[in-house]
Amino acid sequence: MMQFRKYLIATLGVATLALSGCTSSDTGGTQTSQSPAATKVTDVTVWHYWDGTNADTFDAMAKEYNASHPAVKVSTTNVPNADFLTKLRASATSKTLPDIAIGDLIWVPQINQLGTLADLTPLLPSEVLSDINPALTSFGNIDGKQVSVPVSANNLAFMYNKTLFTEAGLDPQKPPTTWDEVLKDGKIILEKTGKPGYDLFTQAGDNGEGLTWNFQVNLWQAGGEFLNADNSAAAFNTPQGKKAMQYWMDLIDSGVSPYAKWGEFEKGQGGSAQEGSWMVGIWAADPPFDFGVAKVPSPSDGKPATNLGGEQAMVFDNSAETAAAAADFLGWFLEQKQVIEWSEATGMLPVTNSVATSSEYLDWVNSTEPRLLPYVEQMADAHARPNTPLYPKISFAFAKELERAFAGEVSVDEALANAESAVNDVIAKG
Amino acid sequence: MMKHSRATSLGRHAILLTGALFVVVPFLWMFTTSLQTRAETYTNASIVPTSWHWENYLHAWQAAPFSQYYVNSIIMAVGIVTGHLVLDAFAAYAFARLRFPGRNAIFVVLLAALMIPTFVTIIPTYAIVANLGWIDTYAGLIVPRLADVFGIILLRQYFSTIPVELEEAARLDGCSRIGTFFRIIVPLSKPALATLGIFSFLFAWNDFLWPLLVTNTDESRTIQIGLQAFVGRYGTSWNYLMAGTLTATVPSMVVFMFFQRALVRGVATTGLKE
Amino acid sequence: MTVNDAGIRRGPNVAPGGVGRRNRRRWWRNYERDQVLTAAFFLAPALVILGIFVFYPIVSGIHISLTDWNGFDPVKTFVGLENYGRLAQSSEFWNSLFVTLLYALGVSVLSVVSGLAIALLLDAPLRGRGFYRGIYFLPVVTSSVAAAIVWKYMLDPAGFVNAFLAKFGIMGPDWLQDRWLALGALTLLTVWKNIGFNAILYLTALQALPNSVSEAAQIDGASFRQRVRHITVPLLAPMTFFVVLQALITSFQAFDLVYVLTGGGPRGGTDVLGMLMYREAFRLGNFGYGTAIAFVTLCLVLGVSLVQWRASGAGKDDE
Repeated sequence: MMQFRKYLIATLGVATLALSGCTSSDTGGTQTSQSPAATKVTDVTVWHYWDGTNADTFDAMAKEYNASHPAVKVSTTNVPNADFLTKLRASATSKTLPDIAIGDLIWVPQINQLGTLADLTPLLPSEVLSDINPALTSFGNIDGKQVSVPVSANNLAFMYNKTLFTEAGLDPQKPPTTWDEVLKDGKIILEKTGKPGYDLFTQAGDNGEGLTWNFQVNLWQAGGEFLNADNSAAAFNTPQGKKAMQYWMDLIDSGVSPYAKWGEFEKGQGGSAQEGSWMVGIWAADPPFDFGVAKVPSPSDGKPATNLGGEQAMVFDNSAETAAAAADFLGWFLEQKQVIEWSEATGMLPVTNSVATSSEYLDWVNSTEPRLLPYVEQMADAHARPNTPLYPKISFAFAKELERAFAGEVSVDEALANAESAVNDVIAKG
Repeated sequence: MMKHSRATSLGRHAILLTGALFVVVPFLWMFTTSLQTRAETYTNASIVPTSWHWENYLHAWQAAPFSQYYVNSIIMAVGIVTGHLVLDAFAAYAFARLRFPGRNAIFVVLLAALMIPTFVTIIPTYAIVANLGWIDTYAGLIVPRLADVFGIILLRQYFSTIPVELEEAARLDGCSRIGTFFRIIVPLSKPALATLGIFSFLFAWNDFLWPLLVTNTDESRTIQIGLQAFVGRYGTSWNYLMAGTLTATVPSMVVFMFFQRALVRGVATTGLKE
Repeated sequence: MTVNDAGIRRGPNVAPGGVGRRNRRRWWRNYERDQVLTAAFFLAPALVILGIFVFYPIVSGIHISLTDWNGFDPVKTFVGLENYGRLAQSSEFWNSLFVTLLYALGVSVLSVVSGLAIALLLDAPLRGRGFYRGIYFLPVVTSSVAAAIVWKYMLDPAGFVNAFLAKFGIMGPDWLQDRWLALGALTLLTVWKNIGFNAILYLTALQALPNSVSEAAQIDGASFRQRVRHITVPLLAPMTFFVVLQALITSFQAFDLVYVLTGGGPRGGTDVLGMLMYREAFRLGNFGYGTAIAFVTLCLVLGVSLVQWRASGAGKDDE
């Protein structure tokens, strides 16, 4: 039995070792701590997915807020974007949610299903709310509650490789402004350099959104709509939708944008592509090639449009105190001074109209990063996607059907019809 | 001893070397990418290094509190490896050598547990751990994974290849079950235990999703979470990601090289007189 | 056995438990008390941990699969077997199943062959053995993402593989845009990634093989190949079972490699069950449905494994 005792001691030793490392720290969520001066400090935890400069800037601003608002202590945590929703789902099961979650705009309707988002209308100053770009505010307005406010914005514009343009004999200061010109210039680039003139996102992949959100730009430009006003039915199977499809098919069939070849532009092997404003910030310091930006070319008989993205902040109703403190932080973050500071440091587009049209900001853009200007100007024509929680399913169903046309398997009419019935199916199943 | 002519030796080297080249290529890509600037990672996809920005390794290290992450990863790995080696070996012995009601049924249930995709159980498991108050603690990182099914099955398979006669002989001499476990089974199972040690370490070292869910603060986070921060919403910093990943691979290779020495063919493997 | 009016058992000379293999009254007499207690002692630590942190969540998972939970709603609505019915009628599921079965078959067979071959090559003394083991183990410790990206670059029409083939005048196809070639590439990538893992498993098992039988056969004139085929391989059956088991689990749950290499494309050509499950549960908000797919997958793998277990005889009782 000596062996037995030795074993027992060994196991206990291991167990003690394993558990002795237990460090308990304050869990997230709501608590108040007593500071030496005996003023009540409310802790506000913020989860976001920003990295690099964006994360550093946000941390610095949180510190700034903490210094000037001693009654509130904001702490930030990065959660990698690919698993952000999973972590929220898990935390919701045991009430370990943060006070503020800053995530992709398109996630808001799904997160709202948790049922614990605070209504920000009474918590934020009305001047702040009315100053925000209306497309973004209405996106966060679900069932009469303002469940989210934007903290950053981005949209899509036409980016092109100036070196390749020159090589093909095109004027790098005169990028295309209409659909016809995109096709024409693309053909020239293909002929003269052998490289595709324009990248199209033609594959559904594992969630469809890459295809969908790029296509929506052209759909809106043609005057079409994606879903009807109350998100209860598909609205893209119309002559306008067909026109947008035909634009894509022309590009694919002519060889300007070969199917399944998204990514050539970013590698420097393609003439142009529809890219987001964040690329300017990423590439500005050390561009892989000489690139230019222009507004998205629209059809000659259509209207300008682009697609809105960005991060939205949601406040969880963990307690009345934390919700109020969180809203106070957000209100501060959306003040003119902070919006300018944030936008200039990160290259993200300002979400408030007063800043987006202010001479201070525009001067900064013109002097520091003129390539952002088309994006800034497009904010006035930017649409937000439908704010239904079914959106991921809708987007995937839509993209899968459209891809078949791009791959040459079905005709444009068939693809649109199939997509329409697939999307309506999704909505019906709810 | 098996005789080997020079020809077969050379032949073996030839095959192994060719295979080795084939096997090493992605590793080369990782290395090359880790030395590029971010702009180059967009346009210059190559296996052979052309730029040599060694400072990427420093920048990657400084991008997050990696020294704290390393400490946490090591503690977590040690805890999990120890747990696996001890708990799995015990359970495997029961399945290999002891008769008890429900043995086959429980074994099938274990097999089933091995085949469950992680995502099915991860949220309910999180709920349990959160309710125990183990968020941001080592307990939360280690205890739920102190035993695992893979190890039990691996060791069970191995134990069943050890001749029963050895233990029977010892029991006749008055040794208890536990005694034969420690004196006969364990020493003869070094290869399998070493293998389990390697795999458990790899599992713990590379584990990402669970530590992400149960930690909210930098003090408790692990390396893989730190590395994932390089995979941003708007693009990945491939150069830093590869630099950080390669650095994190070093301990794995060290552990592997240490444990794999036990996988050398021993001289006396049976101990039975023939 | 008969029972008379007084309730007293009478009958021929049989043990009180009665005749017949399935005597339910005294089944516990088939087990020694000491052994069962010892077994309980040996099993308890692992089973307690697994019970709380693995089995109970699995039961929760089963419950989730019977609801239409979207991952966020605090209320999970019970819908019975609706999810299971839905997947039985989903062409996406059957495509996924078909692709996964092919994939699993390829991965299992090639894993056994490649793992065993490398293990045999590295088993007997050879200079630089440790070095080779390290090299072959590198893919195992390399991140799946890096591995898949490199393969993707190499298989690009403008990439290394086609450039290499061009030297021989062969015009290589667009590998990842043809569903069968893409599946083949994925299979090879998976086997390649795990080659060190499988080799180590076989090396482990080889350490336990007695030399004596092999030597006797060698003295009798059996060639290396014959010895391997008729002695080594059969003796490695338990480990082969394990290698195949791991290969099956890997293929049925594969996600990272597929996601980066093909994203499930071209148009569903490599949409394995791992991709389908993950997409339904995490991307599309069909968490209950995705969980149901996971359980169906589990039953499939379990079924195949049990068949294999019986067939290989690896699970024979040893007392």
